[in-house]
Amino acid sequence: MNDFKNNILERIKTGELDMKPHWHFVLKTVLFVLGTIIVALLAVYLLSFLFFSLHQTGVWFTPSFGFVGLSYFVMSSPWILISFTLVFLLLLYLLVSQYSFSYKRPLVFSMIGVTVFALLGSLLIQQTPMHRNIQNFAERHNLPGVAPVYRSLAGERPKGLVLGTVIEVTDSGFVIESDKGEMIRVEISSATRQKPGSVYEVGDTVFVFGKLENGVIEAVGVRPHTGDELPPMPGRKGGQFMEKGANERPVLFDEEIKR
Amino acid sequence: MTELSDEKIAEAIQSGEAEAFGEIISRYELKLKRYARRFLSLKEDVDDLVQDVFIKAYTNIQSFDPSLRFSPWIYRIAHNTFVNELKRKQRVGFGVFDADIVLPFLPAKETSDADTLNEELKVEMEKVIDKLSPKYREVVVLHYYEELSYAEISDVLRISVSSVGVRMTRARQKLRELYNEENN
Repeated sequence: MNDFKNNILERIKTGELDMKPHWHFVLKTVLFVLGTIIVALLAVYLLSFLFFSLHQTGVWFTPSFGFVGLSYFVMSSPWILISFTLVFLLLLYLLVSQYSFSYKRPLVFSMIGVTVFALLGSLLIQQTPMHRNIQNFAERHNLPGVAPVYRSLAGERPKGLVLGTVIEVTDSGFVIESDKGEMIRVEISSATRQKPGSVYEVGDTVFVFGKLENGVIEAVGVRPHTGDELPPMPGRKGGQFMEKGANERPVLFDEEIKR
Repeated sequence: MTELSDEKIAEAIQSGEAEAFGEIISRYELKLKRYARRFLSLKEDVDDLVQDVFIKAYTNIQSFDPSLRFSPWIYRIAHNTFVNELKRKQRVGFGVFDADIVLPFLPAKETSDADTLNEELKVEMEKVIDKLSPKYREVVVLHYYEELSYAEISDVLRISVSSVGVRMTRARQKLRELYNEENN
């Protein structure tokens, strides 16, 4: 027997080297699979929260208002949330790439697979009231950690975006009552981006993009509010959040959605 | 014991016959030392590194699935050990986003030249193989010297078979260039 082999066998005999038990590897595999599932769920949750945040604040629609809207979109996007989402997607990709079904194929397929999975998962969540329910629950119970995050990322619309109902049509535009209860005159010019042939009537709900100065917005873009894409800000007039203990049914705009 | 397959021996070790590990050492000692020397381009002793591979193989033997082939499993342990050694010594990066493994390529056909590559040619190749980058050198070593199939190399390196083929094609081209440079 050569020294090399002898040395290793001697260490095994004396108990210096010991094999790890089978359950160690079973546990490791179970934990790895569980870890992958948890990271996958978190990635989907974060991506869906990102979409929810962008929809809720209205930032999602601003790129359709040209270069100014696109710049606004870049400036107003929640970059910390985007970074967290990307980190979790990358982590999920790294975990998935450890499985033989993934590394036996070009890794671009795993990347596409992870992205499609996260997008489909988040779109599925978008079809449910999950985030709205979490937001309501967190606000009602003032959940530490959750309530402030939902409030700052999905509860406050950045300056430059207004949602309101047309209460008067004027020669140069219309007057809206915003979801905060302010009366705002909206000036529409040839430079205003809107759907061709748009006509606004009293009672229409619109989303206006532009700088608010002295109760007037020179509209950069106007978009009719057609569904629950842009619900009113919570805790305000028509908002969906109720005060603690309040029993009345919320929502001006949710009612409209049902109609 | 000598007539048993590697997988049967591994199964025996898993059920407590620790001495059977001696047979595994006998079968793989020279192969792994050769793999270490060529992959790491080391002229000096590689005993410590290979001993480390066997120790890891023994301590982790319960993670081996006897329904699969044993050689890719132990070569995988060796690959990880040697890559760590390369990183430690040369600070060589093995990036996650290597285009060879990220992008899809047409499935590369496995050639049978590993069997037919004569000794003389292997000696000639050995003169220039050190000049290849580690990721190309390793597939050449595993295929031509250790005679692993593309599928087995794919298991060792955890990349797709088509990526193994791409690396092999690029390695061959590079070897040809290096060989021509050497002889002109």
